[in-house]
Amino acid sequence: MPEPSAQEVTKLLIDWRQGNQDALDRLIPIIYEELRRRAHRYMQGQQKGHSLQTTGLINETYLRLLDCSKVSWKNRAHFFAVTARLMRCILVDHARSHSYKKRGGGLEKFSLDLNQIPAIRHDPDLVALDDALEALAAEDDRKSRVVELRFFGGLSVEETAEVLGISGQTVMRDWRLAKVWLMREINESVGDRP
Amino acid sequence: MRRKRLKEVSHIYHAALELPERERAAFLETCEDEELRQEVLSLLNNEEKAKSFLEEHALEIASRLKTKAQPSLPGRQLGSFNLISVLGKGGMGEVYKAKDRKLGRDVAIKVMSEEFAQDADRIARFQREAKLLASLNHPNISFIHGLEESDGIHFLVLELVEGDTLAERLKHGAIPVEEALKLALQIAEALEAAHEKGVIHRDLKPANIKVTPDEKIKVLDFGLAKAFVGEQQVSLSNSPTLSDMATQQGVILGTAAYMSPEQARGKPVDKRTDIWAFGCVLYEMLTGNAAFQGEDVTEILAAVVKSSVNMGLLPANLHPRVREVLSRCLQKEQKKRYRDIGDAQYEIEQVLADPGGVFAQPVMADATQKKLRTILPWVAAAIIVAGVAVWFLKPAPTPEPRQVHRYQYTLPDGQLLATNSRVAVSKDGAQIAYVAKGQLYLKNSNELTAKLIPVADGIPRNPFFSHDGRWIGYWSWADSQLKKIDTTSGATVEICEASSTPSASWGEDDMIVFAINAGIMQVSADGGTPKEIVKAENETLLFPQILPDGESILFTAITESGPQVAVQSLESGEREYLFPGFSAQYLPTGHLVYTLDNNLFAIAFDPERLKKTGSPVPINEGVFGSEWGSGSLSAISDSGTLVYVPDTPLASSEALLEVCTKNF
Repeated sequence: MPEPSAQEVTKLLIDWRQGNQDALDRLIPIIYEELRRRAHRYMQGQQKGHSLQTTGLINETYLRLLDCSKVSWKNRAHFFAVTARLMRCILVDHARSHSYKKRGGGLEKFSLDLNQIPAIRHDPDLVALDDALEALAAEDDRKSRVVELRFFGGLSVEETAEVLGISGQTVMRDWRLAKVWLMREINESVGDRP
Repeated sequence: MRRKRLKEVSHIYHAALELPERERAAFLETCEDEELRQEVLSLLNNEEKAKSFLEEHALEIASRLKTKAQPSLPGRQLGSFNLISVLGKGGMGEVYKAKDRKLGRDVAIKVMSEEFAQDADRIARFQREAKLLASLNHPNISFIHGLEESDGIHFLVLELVEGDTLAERLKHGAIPVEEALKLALQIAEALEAAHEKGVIHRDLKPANIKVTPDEKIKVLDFGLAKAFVGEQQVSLSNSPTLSDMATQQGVILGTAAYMSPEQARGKPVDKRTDIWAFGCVLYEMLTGNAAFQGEDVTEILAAVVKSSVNMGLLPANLHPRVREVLSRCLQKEQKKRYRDIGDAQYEIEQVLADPGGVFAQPVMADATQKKLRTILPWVAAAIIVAGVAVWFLKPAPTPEPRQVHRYQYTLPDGQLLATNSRVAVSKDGAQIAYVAKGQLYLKNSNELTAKLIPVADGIPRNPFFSHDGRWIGYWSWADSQLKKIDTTSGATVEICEASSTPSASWGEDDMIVFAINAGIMQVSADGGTPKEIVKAENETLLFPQILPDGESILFTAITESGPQVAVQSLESGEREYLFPGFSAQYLPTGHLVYTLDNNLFAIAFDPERLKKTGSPVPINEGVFGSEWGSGSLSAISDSGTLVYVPDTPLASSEALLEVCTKNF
């Protein structure tokens, strides 16, 4: 597939926002491909010891794919929302393909000494998180979207607020409760299983 | 039910969170719906644990999935080394006994974790350190041959030392006094040699000290703690994940027990940290008990910081000079400790040379013991208590604000204050800028209503005034640009591209510092390419301000333990956390003004020494939106004009600004 030009992608985005569902169907593979490439490059870079920025990933994708001068901020917000969702798919798939087993509390690894303290992480199990997010969405869709945008999309509080059309304060409240809720959900779902 | 009615739960949950912890239970009692109450309780119980949860980008976590456990390597070849057997699992990875085929000698090889191998900065830093460490050539220090790499595996080549570690030895109980002192002397010699070269061990403990069959001491892993983690201070006490892990693993306990109080607090360390650890080790050799104990890391660290060691366990007639050595090594305050390990060494030598032997008259010992008890300071404990208490106590001698002018400005109908943008006040306090409904407004103190400052394109956010008050800088949401607008002519000038910029400040020298995700950047107000001056390490940095010396920067760091006010040297990058607080701003009156839990405080601050010089004085209560992130809605001018949104229940929708001028 030849790479679509920024004008084409921009037009698709605008068309979609104006109600053309086909435009979204064509838009998604383009964003998906770009994101997947970037995400994998990022992960490989990490492997090789290059340090890259994660936070800018969606912004970069946006800048690369779209003709910014023609996109209103509202459309940009929708682009971000779609992109964060795709990012979630990519990363959860990635986690699944690593036959990443569920462990108690998602404690992925520990280290045993002072020397390794920076390496201690409470890595959440992305697959379990994905399930928990579904459950959360059934309860309160907005909260699950806040998590999707912030955690998978890497959006700031502000950007999240903008995308969802709520205040930053509300984003923070949602974020805070959603995190606790999800953590408990994941821990319990692991605990439930033999 | 448990997953039902999340919206109801949310309401009660956040209301409960607003309350001090001790009042929450009583508050929840008022909720008649038992199931709902249980649900909120269950969530509240997880609140603390969830703080760091999901705070890292998913991509970071996904990229770690590839990091699988390392296969065991014995039998393998690594460069010119044949790995023979596993010696143990050490700090940074597994340790093997290996044969160096080139030089025909046995060595120990410490294979670094894969995670380490993926971090180029860390490897570079480690290589620099390894060079320095390799220059430590002393019979009591195990030698580091170097850091090598083969097939993408990084490993340290170390001197192979036969024998047990002191930790293994101590499992059988205390060591006879004379023997213990002789071993201690060798440990002191090792420390002295390293300190002379400027190397601090930082992680001295019995597990890192080997005793060869002929009673020779070899101190292992000198300086590796720092080489591994860098200058960044690791604070055990504020790491929630750590305490979780520690209780499960029970291993970090071993390290915490030998940490100095300054390490436990995450403060900078110097060679006196080793002197403390030396005291702990000596004490343990003499008594067979760790100097500081506890069930878990938190307890141990609490003991390190505030308990004194039980001198009663020492052999009753131990030479008073040895007691004195212990007392001087185990002073909580660095400056009261021996300055130099040589002093301890001298004392021990004197005792060993004393024709009267290593014991003294019991009476003497008792007298010393008494004296010791009075010397051993409770100072550290007092600091902590004071640190907490000052927030509640009004410090008496601090001058009360003198004149207070206060007025409220209610935004006209139709203007809804954007709570995701900051408010700004000019240096002279005469102008206020805020964002409402995506538009920038400027309110002059001599005018009744604010005027609209039309911004040509984009959505202005987070305004800040130029030093002379003529310009308003802002972040333009739509095109991710930092811009400025001339308040008189309305001319807009692009300064630079910037990802989300929650806070910025404009210096007298017309340089702007601003915070983005990656850190703090600096750019000329005339535009140009921004320069990164503070790099964020998995943290959010906000509210940057260059201090008057031009050499250091003040900012707020959102750390795992909450927001901290920090200063950092621009040249050396050395950072110091001053106190918990948010949005601190330096005023030329010599104060830092900051928010904490929706209250505004001022604290005297010496901009030259970069130290707070007084206690915090509450200057305003009930300031809205200071809890988190970019929406801190308060600002203060050099002249003491404070603009804030009162913390009323409806603050976010009520369009109200309160302006208050205080002198302090």
